[in-house]
Amino acid sequence: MKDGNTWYLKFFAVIILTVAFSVMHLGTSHAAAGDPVVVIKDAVDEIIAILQDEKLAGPTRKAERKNRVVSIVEKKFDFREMSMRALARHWRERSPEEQDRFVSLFKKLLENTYIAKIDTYSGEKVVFRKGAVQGNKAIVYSDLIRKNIETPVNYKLKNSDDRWLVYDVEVEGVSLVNNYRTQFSSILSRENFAGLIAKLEEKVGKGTAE
Amino acid sequence: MKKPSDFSLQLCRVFFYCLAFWLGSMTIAQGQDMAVDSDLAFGEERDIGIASDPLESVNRVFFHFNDKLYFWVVKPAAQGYSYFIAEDVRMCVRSFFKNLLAPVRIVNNLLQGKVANTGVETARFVINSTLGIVGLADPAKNEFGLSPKDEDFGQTLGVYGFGEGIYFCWPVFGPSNVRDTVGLAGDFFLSPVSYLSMSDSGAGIAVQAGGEVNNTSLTLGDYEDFKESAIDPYVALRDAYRQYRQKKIRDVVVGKDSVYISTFDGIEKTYAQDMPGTVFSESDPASAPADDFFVQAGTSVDVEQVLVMRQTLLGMNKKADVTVYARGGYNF
Repeated sequence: MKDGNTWYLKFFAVIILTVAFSVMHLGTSHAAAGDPVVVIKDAVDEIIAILQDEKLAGPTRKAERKNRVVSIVEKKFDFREMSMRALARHWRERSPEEQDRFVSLFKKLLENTYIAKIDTYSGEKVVFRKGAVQGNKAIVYSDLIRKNIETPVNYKLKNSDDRWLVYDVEVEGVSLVNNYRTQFSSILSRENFAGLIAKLEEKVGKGTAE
Repeated sequence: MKKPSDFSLQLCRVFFYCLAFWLGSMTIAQGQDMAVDSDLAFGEERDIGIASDPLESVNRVFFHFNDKLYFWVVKPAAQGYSYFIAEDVRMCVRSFFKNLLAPVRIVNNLLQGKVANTGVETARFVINSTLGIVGLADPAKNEFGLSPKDEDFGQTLGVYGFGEGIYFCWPVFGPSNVRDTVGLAGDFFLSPVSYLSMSDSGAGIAVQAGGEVNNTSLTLGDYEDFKESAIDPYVALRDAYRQYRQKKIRDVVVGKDSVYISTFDGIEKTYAQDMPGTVFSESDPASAPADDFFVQAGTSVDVEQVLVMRQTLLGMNKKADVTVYARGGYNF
């Protein structure tokens, strides 16, 4: 009926690209608590450099490409913060060991489903709109242009230890972390924490087997 | 016999009453709908809670049905179609269908009192229908910088304070809720395709299905990715739908939509997009790679104007929820 009906199909594909694009940062930059827009922009430059690198092209180097991307992502995404936000009140009820286990699984899930799909990149454009800072939080607005369609993508960053780290990405206004939070709380209302961990393990295991 | 001036006076009066009534209802609607929270961009994301979904078991059946419909019918059709039709052509067809639905956007912008956006959508429709050859191209955006202002009747109802009601997952149509289902019915009467369906239901459905297949052919793989990323795809889709619609209603998605500053008093003000202003980034634009796929942003907004607006609102000493979503520097 309306073109709005298929927006969600677009959403998750776009997020895959943006999560990966947003965080590429080879550590060459000194952007330490500088402009968050620069942090994100540098990151985009880095990922594009990797994707363009002819030495890394070809299916045989796929694993290496992924590893390089992952190692960069680890520096730019605050997976612990994301896990805390995604679990919300359930986070505090968990022991430190359980928390660590969850963080590593959640990180792996995001890596597998999003970052590994970086190879689907096909000429998307990224346009940065603006950045805004308030206290130790920042937000960077951008548009991802894909087949003539603009998709607004907002990166939310938090300043910790003088570094800007991404803790959430919003695509078309849909927050990634909130989306997972709803899923986790729905599962936890029916099962215990071990059940959630088992589900995550199954999901992650399936992803790595690919 | 009445003098013409009397008549126009009368008309003006009627118009004024309508305007006053509409502004009044809008104020009430907004006051009820929006909770007091601090700057949404920075504050904690408002937890929209768990969806009201008493029909979950039925909805899950339909979700499953739509899933199979995609994999068994829509996807193979879109794949076959995209094998024969070039991507450029398919993008034109998508653009054509979007242009066809301009009446929906024009009317709903008007109903929400977004006068400037109504003008933009009307101009878009005129330009794209003529220069854009019945909407196949989008010169309004590419040449005139007029971006579409997506509004539908579901959003209009939301602006007027209707709650979302319970969640539905309709077969074929997908995620929705009570409000948006009513909205869909309302917009039905503004869609030219509906009138085709009324005279010839077979042709109407065929055109509708053709449009869907065309659009799907441009987003193949997206649904697969969505399912891959979700732990519970049903809940993920339900939540994404609710988040998306709530942001749409409150116009807080920066990007395609224009910039609005809203308060409890229903004051709304638009800013033209892409106004010249300060460049926020420290980086030297010249150093950006001159590739075809990376566009250096020089975008910004007249920061001063935003600040003045904010000052004005604050000066009014209203306990207003002032949220500035502008394309500009970050010194507010």
